[in-house]
Amino acid sequence: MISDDSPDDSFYKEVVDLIRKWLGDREYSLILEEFKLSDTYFDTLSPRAKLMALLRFIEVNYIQLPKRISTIYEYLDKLNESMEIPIEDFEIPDTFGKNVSLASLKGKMKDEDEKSLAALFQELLKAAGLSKIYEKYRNGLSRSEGRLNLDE
Amino acid sequence: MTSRTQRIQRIQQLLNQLGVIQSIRLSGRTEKLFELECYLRTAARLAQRNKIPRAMNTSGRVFRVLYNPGNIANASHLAFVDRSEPSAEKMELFMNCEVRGKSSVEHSPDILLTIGSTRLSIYECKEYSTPLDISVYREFIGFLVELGLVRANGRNSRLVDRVLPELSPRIYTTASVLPHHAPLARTYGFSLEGMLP
Repeated sequence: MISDDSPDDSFYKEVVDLIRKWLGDREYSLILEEFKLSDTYFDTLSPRAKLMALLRFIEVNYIQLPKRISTIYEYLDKLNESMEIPIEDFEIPDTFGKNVSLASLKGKMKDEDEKSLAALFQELLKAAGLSKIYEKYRNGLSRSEGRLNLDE
Repeated sequence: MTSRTQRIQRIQQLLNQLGVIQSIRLSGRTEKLFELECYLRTAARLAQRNKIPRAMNTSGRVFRVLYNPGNIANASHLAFVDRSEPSAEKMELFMNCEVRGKSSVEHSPDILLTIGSTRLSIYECKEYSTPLDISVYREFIGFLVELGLVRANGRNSRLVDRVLPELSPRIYTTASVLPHHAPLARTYGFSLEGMLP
């Protein structure tokens, strides 16, 4: 059984490497950019802080994706009720500027994705041993706590 | 097998299960999805104020989000007609458009609300996983100044505050908003909607 205790730095390094490979270069570069925006260098963080940042990136960009798409359609349905000519679909540009149909992205998802991904993410936090501290990280640290001082 | 090895294997399995969602994410620009969600969130607020939405510049019935900020005249957007006064000037809500500031420099707020040629409000969408940095606020205040929408210490009156206060300028973000940055929003008269899903 997986417990929620605190593993050592070598464990965190190993998990960071796993996630980094899984994200791929393009996605990984996005998180580096985000950190640069706040004059912080991702590579200077401790292994645990890096892991938490990667998990937060996964939560925002991956786990919330089905929720985002279903929310867009909820808003669209409400707006369409009062429109003479309803909107049927949206086209979103991909990285190369080619348009992707939002309906096609929605079609690739299963109805249960929203809940199952949230559950999967909780499992990921638990496996990494970060369930408790992650919530604090997610909600933003106050200045006195220090953004980088996540290892106490 | 050690507990550590078991954990690593479990994490690998969980990442494999997330593979499907990775392929969906990589086939679209999710920051544009977040912008679109915020755009529709703002549109829904307008619709609640007795405004009838109308799709403009769509391709067939498809609303096309621009890849790069572009000309207002060419972009898909929603216009809003007042239900009780249909002949009144319509409001228009643009996404990812370029507009000229006081200095004549072009700017690209994520979302822009206008009435006729008057800029009513702007909205920025930040899909970040790290807390919002102060530079985001500085940039937003710069937008407000350039587009004539700043309200310093409540002294200047803005049209949007009189007619649609809930549509005042705001930053939508998935990130957390640090409490010590909140006075910036109060001072310059904008709202913050943080920790959005």
